[in-house]
Amino acid sequence: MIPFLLAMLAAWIYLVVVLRRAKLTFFTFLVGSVGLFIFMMILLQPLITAPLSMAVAAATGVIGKVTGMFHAYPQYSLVFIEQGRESISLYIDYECSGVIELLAFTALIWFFPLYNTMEKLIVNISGLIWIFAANIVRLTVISVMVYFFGNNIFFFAHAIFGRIVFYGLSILLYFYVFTRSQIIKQKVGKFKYGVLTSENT
Amino acid sequence: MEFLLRKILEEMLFWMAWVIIPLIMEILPAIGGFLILLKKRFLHKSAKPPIRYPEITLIIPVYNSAESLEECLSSVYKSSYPLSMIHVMLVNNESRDKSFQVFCRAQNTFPELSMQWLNAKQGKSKALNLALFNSDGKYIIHIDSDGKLHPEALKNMVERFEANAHIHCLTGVILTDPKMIEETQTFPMRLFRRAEFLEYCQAFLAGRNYESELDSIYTLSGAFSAFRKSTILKTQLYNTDTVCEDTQVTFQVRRLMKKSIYLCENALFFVDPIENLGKLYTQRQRWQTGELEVSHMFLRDHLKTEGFFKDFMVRQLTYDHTFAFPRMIWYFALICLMFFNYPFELIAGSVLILYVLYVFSAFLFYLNILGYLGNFKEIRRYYAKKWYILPMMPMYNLYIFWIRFAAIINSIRRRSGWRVDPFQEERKRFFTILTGDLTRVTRVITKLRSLVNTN
Repeated sequence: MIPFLLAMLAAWIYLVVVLRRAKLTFFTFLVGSVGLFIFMMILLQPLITAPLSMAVAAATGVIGKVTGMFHAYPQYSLVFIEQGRESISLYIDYECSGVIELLAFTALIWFFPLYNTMEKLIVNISGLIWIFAANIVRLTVISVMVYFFGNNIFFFAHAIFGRIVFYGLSILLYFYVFTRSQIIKQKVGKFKYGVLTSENT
Repeated sequence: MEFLLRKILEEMLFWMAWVIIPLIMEILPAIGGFLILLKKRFLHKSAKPPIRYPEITLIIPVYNSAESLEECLSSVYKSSYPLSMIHVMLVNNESRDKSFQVFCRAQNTFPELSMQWLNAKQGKSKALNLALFNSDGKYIIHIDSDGKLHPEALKNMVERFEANAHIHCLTGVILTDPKMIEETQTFPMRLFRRAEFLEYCQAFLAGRNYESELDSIYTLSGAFSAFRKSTILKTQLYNTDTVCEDTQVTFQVRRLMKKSIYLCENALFFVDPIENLGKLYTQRQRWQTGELEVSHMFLRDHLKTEGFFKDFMVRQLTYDHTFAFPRMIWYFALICLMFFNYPFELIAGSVLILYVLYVFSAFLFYLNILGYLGNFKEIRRYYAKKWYILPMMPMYNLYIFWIRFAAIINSIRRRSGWRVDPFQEERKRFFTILTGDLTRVTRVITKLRSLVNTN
């Protein structure tokens, strides 16, 4: 498996280099970011999911402690919500930890051609903090909803409402990082179509 | 029964979790659009014809249009609008073909048509501006020289203006020519052009039609648009810097003059279907880049969070630009998830549900469009018969998405005097480097081999 993975990694790096040398901006971005995402999912994701889940549980637990609505058990990646006779525990698995979103954002930012390396680093770190915080907000919203409305609301709160909150906050980040920055820096100038040379017609 | 209902509800909730984001962002707005169009259709009152039709100026920019110009002028000549009230201005911007000879011939063929030939510097914007300065009709109408007007188009447009004093700017409906589509030689290309026809129908008769109702048309169509002369001459005229002078002038009318833009849904203009996929690649990239450029000109100081809720232009930009990034990565993340213990049925099921929802929303618009084509029997019949394309439209739209996304990324690195490279040229550049590397490696191997063999 490892030799195969290394071969694929080498092939991907070579492909990205060729696309870059050919000045194919879009394809460099596409192959680069998708490849980086896949490799990070294979190589990095198993390593960071557990600590990330614990960190998410711990941070959510702080809010739970302040409000007194729920408790967190970071060592088990658990958030425990108790209300009257009902109780529910929320296990933070790799889907819940936000690891996919963190890796996706990282993969996109490193091949997005708008920023230089230092800017990428800063935007990446800030973005990771934002997504992490957005996930805490999502889990808090879920926990608060369960606390007030009981266990029956759990599925709706977790799978639908929480997802919308998280998506909304992620889109806000993407808007500032990708759209706003690009529009501000967008060049406006004379346009012409490329002409096919006689060799390739 | 109760058990069954609960089971269905649970099942719906379960799948909804998977499709909730596209459902909120795309399907629900589509259903809203369908309802708005339905309401418009039932409440619509047709405009009364004026006692006397006013004089109009028809501006046709000409650039190497020898092949299409005669047919374009013929469509004007066959128009139901009184010919004595039409003044045609053909503005040549440095054509190098026989466009002028075609114009001379047309003067003999259409003697009742008042036509004038003007020479402008290169660029559509410059041509349009020159004609605007010289125009004297009450309404200024622009059409492209590579299209054809429907006989009723001019009449319907002027009637709309005359009956609605608050309308200052109208855009017509652009459709690809069904006759040319059906003359396409190969079946796959014919099918593709039919899908393109459906796309145009949906973009104008559904999309811009309901945007018109909400006063949120992002751009009028450069191929067929009309203004009150008093309004267009108060703008800063057509901008010569951007690739999308039509979007730029739309922003001017809206932002600087605080006027609205409407669609005249019964004024049709036919353009040629796309020549080949390579042309589509450059055409759509140009459109997308234009949107980014004009956004830079007008929106760069308004791009704030609340803009999404307050300003439809920011919202449109968010849909076209921001959403493209998570959308791209999630296409691949879904494939990835299959290798991470996610059941295949779950992923395939949610993709299938989404696909069905997209087809469903396309079908709703299909019903709307049939209603709006009621006065154009032949076109309506042609459109109605293309129902079987509807299930293919999500795939067609996906293809277009990738091209537009390519434009978003490519426009970052462009320099002044830039160009959109045809796909063939990009492919050639890629393979030249690849084969160059391969040759180099082969040469090294051959050298090594000869070295080893000699030793």
